[in-house]
Amino acid sequence: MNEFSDLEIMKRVQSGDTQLMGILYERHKTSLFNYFLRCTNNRVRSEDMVQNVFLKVLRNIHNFNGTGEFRYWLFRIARNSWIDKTKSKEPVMKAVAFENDHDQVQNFETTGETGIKELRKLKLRKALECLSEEKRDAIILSRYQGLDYKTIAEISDCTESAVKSRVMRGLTEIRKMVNV
Amino acid sequence: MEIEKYEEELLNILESNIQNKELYVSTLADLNPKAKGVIMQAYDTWNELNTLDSESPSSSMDNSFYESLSKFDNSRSEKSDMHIVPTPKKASKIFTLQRLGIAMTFMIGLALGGYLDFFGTNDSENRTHYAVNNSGLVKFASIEQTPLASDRIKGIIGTKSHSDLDAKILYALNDVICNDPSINVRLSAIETLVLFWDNPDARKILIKAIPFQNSPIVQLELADIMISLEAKTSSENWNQLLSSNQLEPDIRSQLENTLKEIL
Repeated sequence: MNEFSDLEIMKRVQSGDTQLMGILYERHKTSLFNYFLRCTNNRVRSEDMVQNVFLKVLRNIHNFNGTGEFRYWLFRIARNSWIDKTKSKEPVMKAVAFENDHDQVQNFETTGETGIKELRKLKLRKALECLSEEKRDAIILSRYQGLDYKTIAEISDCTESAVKSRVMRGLTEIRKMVNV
Repeated sequence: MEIEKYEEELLNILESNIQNKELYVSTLADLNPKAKGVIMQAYDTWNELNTLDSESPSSSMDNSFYESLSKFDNSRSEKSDMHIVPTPKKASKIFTLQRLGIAMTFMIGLALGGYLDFFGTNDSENRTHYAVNNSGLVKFASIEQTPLASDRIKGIIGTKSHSDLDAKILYALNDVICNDPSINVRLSAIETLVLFWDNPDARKILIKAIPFQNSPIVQLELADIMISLEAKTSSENWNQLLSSNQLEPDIRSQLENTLKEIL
């Protein structure tokens, strides 16, 4: 079954073999988890969101018309889930993330060269997190998920030009933040 | 938000799969000396983002997902099963009796209505009528044309409204019972054929399908049906299934226990 494409498996899932969703889950869980991890900076929350996305896929299985790649559809659902979450929980999540970062920065200051590199990574993570939702999303989807600008535009309901602008402005802002 | 020409070119380079991106980016920077700093800094940031490693989710995420998937599957089965709840065994007996009750009522109704040949009447006219009307119904069970299991079940349930099953429908139901990947669809087809137990072809299909069943739920359901209908002619097919080394030991002993009257 593993040699079947995502689309072929989706057809089987649509016809009632819901257990085959496990194959799609195995194929995409890590990439989806890292997408949420970069959005939330929180492992537990990211894992919860991955599961919720796959359950949403199952509940809306008949809305998938098979014309595009399953991965793109999956990321559209993931992005919408994340946006819904930020609308309701953003203040709490940001506060938690900041507290964690503060503790980590305190630890890195005394651990030499490795600590400086780790601190740089932490600053990058923090800078990514501090971007506006649209810019962060555009950078994560293009840099880490390897999606092209056209696909990101479709997923994000905006123009390709807007995606490019968000990536460019996002990179500039990250640079400014990490060099402070 | 407007985007400069050089910015667009830089982003196209970053998105592409070309090998020596640095050369392209530095050329672009040389061609746009005023924006050189912005281009090189954006390129460095893009590369630096690569230092943020990917992480692996924990195994507890997998466990929770598979648990949720299983729950989802069960709740879906309960919805589509309607009154065909195959397990546990006691429930299965009850529902088999219920089904037989419905079947008998249906058959008596049909007999009183003169649709069945219980009293020696000629129903060839009726048969022709249904054959014509049913010509398109074979599609109900084809997985290629009806990919949704729930639609196939609806199609199968729809055939129950007919007084008899023509060859095309019987062929389609036979195909479903032997090949359909969904247990619920198979159970619906079995339930329909039980309603037409009086039809020798329906009986034959049900009995011949026995060795092809690999789902314990379907196997136990068929065993209950055969016992209820005292179908001793099915013994050879049961023995064929029982001799299969793919049968789970627990299910084998349960089947042998259930079927001892007809084996």
